[in-house]
Amino acid sequence: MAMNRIIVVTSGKGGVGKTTCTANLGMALAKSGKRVVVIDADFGLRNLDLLLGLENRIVYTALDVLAGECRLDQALVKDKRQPNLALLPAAQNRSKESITPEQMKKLVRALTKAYNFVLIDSPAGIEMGFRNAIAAAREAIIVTTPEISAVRDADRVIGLLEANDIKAMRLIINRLKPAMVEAEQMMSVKDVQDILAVPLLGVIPDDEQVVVSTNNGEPLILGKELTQAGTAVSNIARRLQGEKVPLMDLSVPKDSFLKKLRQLFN
Amino acid sequence: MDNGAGDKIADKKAPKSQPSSEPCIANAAMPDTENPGQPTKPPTSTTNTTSANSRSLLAARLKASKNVELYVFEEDMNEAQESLPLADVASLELDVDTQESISKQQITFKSEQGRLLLLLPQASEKSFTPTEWEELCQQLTIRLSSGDRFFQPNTTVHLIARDRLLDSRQLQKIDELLQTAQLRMKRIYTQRRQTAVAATTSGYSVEQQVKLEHLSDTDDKGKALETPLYLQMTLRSGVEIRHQGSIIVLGDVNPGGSLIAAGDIFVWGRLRGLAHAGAEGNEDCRIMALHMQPTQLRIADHVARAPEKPPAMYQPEVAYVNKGGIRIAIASEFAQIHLNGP
Repeated sequence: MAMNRIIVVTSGKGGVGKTTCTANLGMALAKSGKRVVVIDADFGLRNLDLLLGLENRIVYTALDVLAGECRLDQALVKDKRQPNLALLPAAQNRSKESITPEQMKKLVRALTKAYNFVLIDSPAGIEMGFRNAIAAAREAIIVTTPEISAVRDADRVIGLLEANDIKAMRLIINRLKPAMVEAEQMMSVKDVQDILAVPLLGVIPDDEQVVVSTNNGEPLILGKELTQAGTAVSNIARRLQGEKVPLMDLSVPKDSFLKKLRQLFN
Repeated sequence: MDNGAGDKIADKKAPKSQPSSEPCIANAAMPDTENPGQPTKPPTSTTNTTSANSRSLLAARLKASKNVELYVFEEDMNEAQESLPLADVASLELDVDTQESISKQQITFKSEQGRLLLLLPQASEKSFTPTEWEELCQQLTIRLSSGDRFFQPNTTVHLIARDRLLDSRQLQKIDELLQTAQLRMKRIYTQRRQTAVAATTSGYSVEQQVKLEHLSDTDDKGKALETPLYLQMTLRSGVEIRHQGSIIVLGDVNPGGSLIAAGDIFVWGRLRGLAHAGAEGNEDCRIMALHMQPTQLRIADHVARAPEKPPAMYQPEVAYVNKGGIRIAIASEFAQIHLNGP
């Protein structure tokens, strides 16, 4: 049966890059020709519109749709730079309790008819906002950073997702600093995977450029020349569509000689 | 070393494992000797494995293996994407239950013969949900602190509870909030017996009416605007002020904050959020600000964004509607052209 994909991006801990990942992943998928809608499920603390640079285009929000004050397509903000991408904004002046999981399901169900990908940006935490975000999802992307606290929270979230019957989960490890990993000051990809045991979807290296792109409302993926982080995201988008893309080599350049030697012997 | 678990797990939902041929970070972090010789085994699929089960197996196997693997998902998604015709966005229907929608009314203060009337918003349900009550208290706090200077100490307040159910705890809370602005709640008007009983036991005087005709402002269409709402505050992200009249703000309106007025909007400060004047449809309404840098301006049914490039210098401006939509003029020039008339 043909099914469009409904993916929630979640993490448990705040500030690990859920929204940044959602924005860039949405943009990358749209770039590859898929029709994508990103839903901001962070009612009361919405950010996705900012990252996409669409804040000043919002006229209606998801709540207005649910209240019957506008049609669904009126609330969707289309991205001028990338017509395949649309945003369903959250209300800023409400709390997470102002929408129910049932209502979320209703919205998503309608949207799947017109979009290949529905990406839901979950708020931090595991309360009502999180429950709303996962209510309609069939798959989940767990975003974590290589920090003990983020991994702990991600583990909790994975458990909750399993309990909610969302079993197709993949992991993105964000903001990895290869140099620190090599100095054994930061958890490695393997350390994180050891604990979470969720299939790895990709690793995004730490990138200062992300701050710039966030402030400008221009997703990294739109840049003319992709940074390492940008490439990582675009690889993730390809993997998400079933393509086999090998992990990027994130090792620190000074080791490259050793690496090459090793590759030679392989 | 044989890597502990020979069989790799794959079922329809969980991925088939795909050992990464590329060197990855973990290698660099933990140089290990076994790595070059490690056999790459093709995935043997075991069907009917539950996901939770596969997770623990995967975990066990990962512990045994030194290598990080990347899993690629070969699901049946590929064909699905091609075969599904997408509907037009405009055709999407959503059956909404308007009963569920939340009242957009806010609390209002009215002065009547030297007393203050505190009107609670009409509720669709007859009592407050916990969050609605929280929001109402926040609203009241904001209104009280932003109008602080104008409340005369010991002014009497009459609470118009309409058909709301209020228990004595909630009445007490309202009273406490009013006391912070040195206002005294004396009398409660209600249509509900339970609220009346609660109020009496708490020592307030009560007027129970079946219908509050002169105060119910819901049914009449085309009614006159309320007196302007004067606020002295910084309107931060997430705060929305609605008023059935003009709004005057002494302070800034930050991005994410919004002002929605049936009349004009006047911001003596920076307007960086959203302002909607003439929200009931009056195109003659205006938005004025010392520093006009809005996220969005709306007048009646018109919507406008600020220009992409901000001006070099901000000066007081007025936004109004003409045939072309919303226009912005420098305040001093606007007064000459539009106010003095031909």
